[in-house]
Amino acid sequence: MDTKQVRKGIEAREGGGVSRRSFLKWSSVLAGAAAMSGVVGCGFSQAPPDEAGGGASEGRWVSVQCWSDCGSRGFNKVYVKDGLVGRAGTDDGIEDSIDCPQVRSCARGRASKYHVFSADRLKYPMKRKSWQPGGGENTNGEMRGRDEWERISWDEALDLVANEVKRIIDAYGNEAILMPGFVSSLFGQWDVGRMLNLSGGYMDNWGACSSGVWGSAAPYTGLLEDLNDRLDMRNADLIVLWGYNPAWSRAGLPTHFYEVCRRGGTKFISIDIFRNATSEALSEEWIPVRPGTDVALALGMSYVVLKEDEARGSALIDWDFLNRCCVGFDAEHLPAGADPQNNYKDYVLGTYDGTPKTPEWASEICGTPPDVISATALRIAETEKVSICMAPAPGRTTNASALPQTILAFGAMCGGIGKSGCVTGSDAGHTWLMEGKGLVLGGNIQGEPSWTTAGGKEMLVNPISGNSLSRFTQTPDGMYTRPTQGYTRINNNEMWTSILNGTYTVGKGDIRPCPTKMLWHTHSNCMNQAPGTMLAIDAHRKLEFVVCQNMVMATPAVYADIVLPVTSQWERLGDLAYSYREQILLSSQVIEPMFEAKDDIWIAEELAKRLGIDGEKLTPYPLVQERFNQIAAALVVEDDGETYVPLVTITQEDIEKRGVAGIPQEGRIAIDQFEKDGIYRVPRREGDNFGHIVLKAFRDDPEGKPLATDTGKLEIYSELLAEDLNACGWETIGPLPQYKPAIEGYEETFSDWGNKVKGEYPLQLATIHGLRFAHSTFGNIPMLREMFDHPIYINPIDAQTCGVVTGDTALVTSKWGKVIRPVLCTDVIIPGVVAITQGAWVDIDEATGVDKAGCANVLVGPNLCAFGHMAFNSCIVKVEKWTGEVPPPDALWPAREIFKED
Amino acid sequence: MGQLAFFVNSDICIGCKCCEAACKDIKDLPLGPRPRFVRDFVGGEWKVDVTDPTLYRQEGVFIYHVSVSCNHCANPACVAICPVGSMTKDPETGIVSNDLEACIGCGSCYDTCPYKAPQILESDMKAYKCDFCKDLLEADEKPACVATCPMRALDYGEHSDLMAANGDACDVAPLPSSEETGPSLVLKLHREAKMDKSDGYSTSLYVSDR
Repeated sequence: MDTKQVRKGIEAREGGGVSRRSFLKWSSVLAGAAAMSGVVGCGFSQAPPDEAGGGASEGRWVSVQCWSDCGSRGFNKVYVKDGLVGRAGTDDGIEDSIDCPQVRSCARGRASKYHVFSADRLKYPMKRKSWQPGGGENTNGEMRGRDEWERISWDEALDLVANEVKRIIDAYGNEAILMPGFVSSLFGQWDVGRMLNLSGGYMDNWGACSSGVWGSAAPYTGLLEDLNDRLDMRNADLIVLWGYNPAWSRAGLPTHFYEVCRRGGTKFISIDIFRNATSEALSEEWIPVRPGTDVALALGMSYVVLKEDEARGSALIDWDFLNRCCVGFDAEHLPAGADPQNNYKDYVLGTYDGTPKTPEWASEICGTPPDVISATALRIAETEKVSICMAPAPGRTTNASALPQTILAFGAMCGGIGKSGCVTGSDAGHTWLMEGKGLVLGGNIQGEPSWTTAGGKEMLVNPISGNSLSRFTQTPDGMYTRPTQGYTRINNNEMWTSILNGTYTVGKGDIRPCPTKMLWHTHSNCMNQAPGTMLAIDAHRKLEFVVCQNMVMATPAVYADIVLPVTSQWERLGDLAYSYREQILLSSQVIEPMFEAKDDIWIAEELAKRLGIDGEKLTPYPLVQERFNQIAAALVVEDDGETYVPLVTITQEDIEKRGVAGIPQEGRIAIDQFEKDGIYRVPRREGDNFGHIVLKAFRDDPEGKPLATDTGKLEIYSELLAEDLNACGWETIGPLPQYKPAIEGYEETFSDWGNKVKGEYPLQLATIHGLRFAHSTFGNIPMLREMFDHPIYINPIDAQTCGVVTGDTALVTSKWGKVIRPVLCTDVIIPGVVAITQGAWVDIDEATGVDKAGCANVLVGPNLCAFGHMAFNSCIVKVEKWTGEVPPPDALWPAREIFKED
Repeated sequence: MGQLAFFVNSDICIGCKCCEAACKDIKDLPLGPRPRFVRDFVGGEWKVDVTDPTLYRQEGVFIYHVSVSCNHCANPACVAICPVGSMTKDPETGIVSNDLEACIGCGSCYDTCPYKAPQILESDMKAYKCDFCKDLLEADEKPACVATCPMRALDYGEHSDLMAANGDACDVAPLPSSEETGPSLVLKLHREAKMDKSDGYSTSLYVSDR
């Protein structure tokens, strides 16, 4: 079979793919399943609090929250009429313009109602049948994920949880309770975490998830997770999107912003493992690169630019900037006492190590042809106004320690830092963090108050895990910063191995016994979303107690002993939340709590009563007051771009009407209007005072405006980075960035690198952000499964070698686990690399041990590196044709509905 | 008012399917029917480097998307074939719509439409298709798909106006030829657009009829 047939596998095999007949058959099955969820049919579902029982009335739009942590934030609303929820809508409150765009939602945001009304909403508290409290044999831990469930009352459930918490703390101490949170750990666990912080604390986790090495290592270099203001980006002549696909990873406005730049004449090139959707819309050129080899590519490009600069009499490189603002580029600009041979330029040229980092050297590693490396490097260097925007993805590899320094060096050489139209850096992982300070301030993140939420409750320090203050900002930085002396946390990569092997790493030479006896799952689906899901399952079966509170039967609920049903954000009061830096959203309650679901804070309060914890400190004031406080505390910038004033106008009447305590204030928008609109936008125009150019002040005056780095300059050479990274105990680096092969990287796909003989796992796997999931959120929505396929993407050349065609089911195996997925052969991915979107809810077939859902972290292992970030893009696999039973298409999978409705 | 038409800027479409989602939502459709469908078209190839057998060079690898619903054609095949006359074309706006009361779900419209725009929902045996969100138009709103497009790649208007502003392209791979039905569709072609279906392939795993 030639590669053409491989690509068109379905037609080649069956002469026509799915017939209308079978298509119709699925639709009828799903119509039935969906009808049970209550959304489809009449088109309206569930009474909102203030309209229940109302007769035929005019409908109204209610602004609603989309609480997933996708990295972006659209505006969503739903039409509510006669007590029922109808169609979804988005921002249409202003005329759409390029300077003041509507904040339109994505397909997932629109699908929120299917999430709220999904058939697998948890209805009642549940207990795993063969689990008994008290530890020991009666836990029957091996049955986790295999057992049956029994419905219990809230009182039973809360008593069981409280008694187990008491028993475990008495026997082993508070550190025996591991309550992992990902992004939320940055902010201090709310609700039940806050409750435990009032009574001895709990073990928190640490280590970057989405930011990879950018969040932890880049601050040492002075390179920020930040980009120039979107209006300034229009001044760029060339924008390099490196591993950067906002069309999939930051759905909503960001790709539109870049498209506006393109309309104005900005050129784009994309460097990535695949011709991604963003490059499809923007870029005239795609530069393919293998995962985990971006440092090699950047070194190869640096070599080209250095050599060409030499030929042109130093006229190509931005020497002025390098000399004034950077440390470590050449022997003349090193910190006192450093070895003069240890500089970037000589490393690239191979002056002392005998290996010039030529395009040929780089090409062997990164897979980009040498002539393409040269041409790309020169194009970037020769462009006056050039920006290099890198997503965190290339930093989510096991050899990423050198990445920020290398990208800094290359960007600085090319003149791409600190000027209009010029920025080099990462996009910060979340759109509301980039492009400078917020023009509106306040609000929650993912439905929870954070350290930056004005008007929120006083944050409490976890007595076990502390706050891990950032060395550079002195703010809590529990994700990226190793726990402060006297505190301890378990790194994400060791969460499961510590339980299985008995020890965890606190620092270099500081290995301690693992204290974990109990897992408390809140809203971080870490079993599914941290590397090593099969290890997670094994680890869960060894514990004394696992409790999970969730709104749906997500992975941690499947492996828990007690499951507590919680409300969605639509069943709560609604909240104030960031959108982009120019917008802030105010959502409202849509419906009453479904079934027996309760708010997390209610669970915390009930447990506090049983554990003798001070409820006054837990919730000092009612939720309605908290929401009001946050609205009142929100700020908006004045036209000067410096002064912040209250956003919301509140009268005495407003305060009395809401039954809250407060002081009237003057702002930009009346509180009732804000509630009705659900959104406030700061208008923008060219030449306003809200612009932002990263590192401009420093570039203009490096002595007068030094950076927070060790030397006050941009550090291509960073002794402090090496010192702090090495102190974590997982990797040893020097102060100068150097390419080293990744654990489970390209080099390891060979059994004999010299002769290029492939080994047992010949393909690299990249785990990408797709549109079906926002991480694991929305993993249960049939409508999104129907719209967005979740295949194993493979180049036709590799498919041919592996003996699979499009439409086949493939078995994908790494040393950590096995998944099956439909095959999609596509030329948009570089040969030698396969990709899978992350977020599917693991679904193990007990007979074969194979994951049928295609959970990426079944394949990705918890390899230890750097500051303990999770290296989702370092994984090697083999792909072969699956000969077992083929499951139905994902859209037709049954919901995880444990109990039918009463 | 003259014939209404959709404008689709395939050059900046990212295939995010917000239009599909908005369409299903406004029609309140369950799984199955997808009256607006975002097609993709992929192609190009990889060749082993002449000097290095581990190095592959891409030659013209491309991908683009085209979002298409009912095109409210000048000569609608669905109207011609409908045995019960439920499928009609409005003489004023040119909107082709289906009277669900009268529709018997026989599927002949689906079979005959080159774009497969009418989609049969078997659970109620009706053909669902784009009606230009005419209720929204009457309420001075835009069609749901146009109003939601995050890339601002979709627009609508009178066919003659859209052609005057954007040209008259309405053929591109993998769409069927426009000759048969005369679609009210104006495309801005992707810069890598192909006219011939044999120059690439579509990659939707479970949909092969569009």
